[in-house]
Amino acid sequence: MDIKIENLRVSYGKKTVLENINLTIPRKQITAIIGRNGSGKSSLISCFGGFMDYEGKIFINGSDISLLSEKETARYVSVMMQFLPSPHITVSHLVSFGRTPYHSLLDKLNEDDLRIINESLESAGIYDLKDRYVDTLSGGERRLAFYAMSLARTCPVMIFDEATAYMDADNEGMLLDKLAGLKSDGKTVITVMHNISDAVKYADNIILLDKKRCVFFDTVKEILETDILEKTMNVKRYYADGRTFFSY
Amino acid sequence: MKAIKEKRIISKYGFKLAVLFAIFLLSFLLSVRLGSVFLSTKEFFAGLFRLDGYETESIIIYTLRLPRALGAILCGVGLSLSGVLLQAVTDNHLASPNIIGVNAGAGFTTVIFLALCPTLSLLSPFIAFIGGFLATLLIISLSGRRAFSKSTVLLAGIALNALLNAGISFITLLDTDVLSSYNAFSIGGINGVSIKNLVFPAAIILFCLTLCMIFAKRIDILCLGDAYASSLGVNVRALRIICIICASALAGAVVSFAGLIGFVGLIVPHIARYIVGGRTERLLPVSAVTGSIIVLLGDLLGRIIISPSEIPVGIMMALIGAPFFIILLIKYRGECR
Repeated sequence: MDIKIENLRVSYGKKTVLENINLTIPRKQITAIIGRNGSGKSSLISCFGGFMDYEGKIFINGSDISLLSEKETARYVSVMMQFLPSPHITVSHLVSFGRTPYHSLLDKLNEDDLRIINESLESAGIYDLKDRYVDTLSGGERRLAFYAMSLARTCPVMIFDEATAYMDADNEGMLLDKLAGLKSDGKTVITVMHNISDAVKYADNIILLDKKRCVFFDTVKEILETDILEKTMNVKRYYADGRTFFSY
Repeated sequence: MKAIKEKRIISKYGFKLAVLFAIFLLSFLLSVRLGSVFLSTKEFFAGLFRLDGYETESIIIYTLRLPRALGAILCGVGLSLSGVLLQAVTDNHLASPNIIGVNAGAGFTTVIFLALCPTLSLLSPFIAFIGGFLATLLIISLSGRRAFSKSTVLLAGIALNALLNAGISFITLLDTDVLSSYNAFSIGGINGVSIKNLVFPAAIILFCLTLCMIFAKRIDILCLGDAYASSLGVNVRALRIICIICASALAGAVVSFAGLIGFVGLIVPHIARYIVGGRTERLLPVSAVTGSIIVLLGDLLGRIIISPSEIPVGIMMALIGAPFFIILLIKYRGECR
């Protein structure tokens, strides 16, 4: 399920935050979006989710998402935001929200839904937390609960805005491994990443945003053959344990 | 094991609802039985079954107390559901019909109507109903077409309340005759209500309750915020508008026969949430029953404390509600969002 973006332009009032974005994001791969603060990463993510106005076109599997209903878009694309709410509901209730796009108003959760919810809780490693209230969880646990909700949506395209924000190093590594696992499940993953070293380790492709524009979009291998990351992000490259790292 | 646990949770909810319903029935019976005229058990049942020789008791029960008790039930259901909806759509547990300006809107149109057409004061409940609706529509437009967020609704409500209350004060200053008619309306009460007055509000309340139960699961999702709810395929703006129109219709229906009764819409959702948690499909029925109990008992107390005089239910609700709400704020400090 390719994602094609044509002439995308996003503005907040008179202020343009993204312009002239043209990309075709390949299916069943992990694509990382990186860029400095204010470069438009979250705005781009919001356009995919369909909750931000934009000019231009976004096609998912050939369908213009602006012409799809909210429900249809919700079946194609799941978005996990950077800032997560803390509602007073149980984790299992939260994860069950992921099945909303597949139900009409009066439908109840069926056997399949319950199975998917349980599998999502287990995949996220939080089955034991299912009866806890979300507002009593730690930041990392809450993030895993919302990750489980994203899984329960069973969308072919999964989008994450700084999925590992506020997580400790162990949980961060665990969640990134889980994201990498989604690729083998046939999912197209697009994620905003703050840590460039993680981006080049886990992603197949990199979208580099700078000054409202996409200044680079290609495979990780290609970007590592240039010095655009160093120039744009003002980072230094070094190598250790057979891996490429970047430090500020 | 999982199935057993699920069953146990459901039956726990069922048990709580059954207990509340039993308390509701008891409150209803007490409300019909007790009052400034004392009815013995024999007189009460004889009057209830319209036995010969007990015509006076029958008249007291069927003409005065039964309509009043039904009015109290509708008042409790309407205002509580309105509070639940407003607190859900604004994601703010301090929201209530007073906050979004339904009461102030109803009061403002009533004052204008009483000043312009003092001889048609019987129509004032319907004018109040229209005022509540118009206030809600104004808030929706003030909140903006795109930025229909939880805070803008509250802020628009607060601004509109201030403006309308200033208007009410100004008109009552200019026309002092209006002041006395408006006072009774603004205090709120169900004294002298008839079955005829209750049919239209009852139909509105029943319709809104049904609609809210249909949308209950979607209303739950609003607690995740607009962006998440929208990404889950919920048409957030349409849902908010439906909820706010329902909330104003519910409160307006009550205002049309009971005047401006405060606090019910504010405190009952808190009590219901404490009993069954935050799930809307459970919160709605529990709030409806709890609200009925509170207004029935509040009205009953108002009738018997200084019998044969009485304290209007609006004052009783403020007397019960204000301290209760302060206790809630202290107890759940930091949790009340």
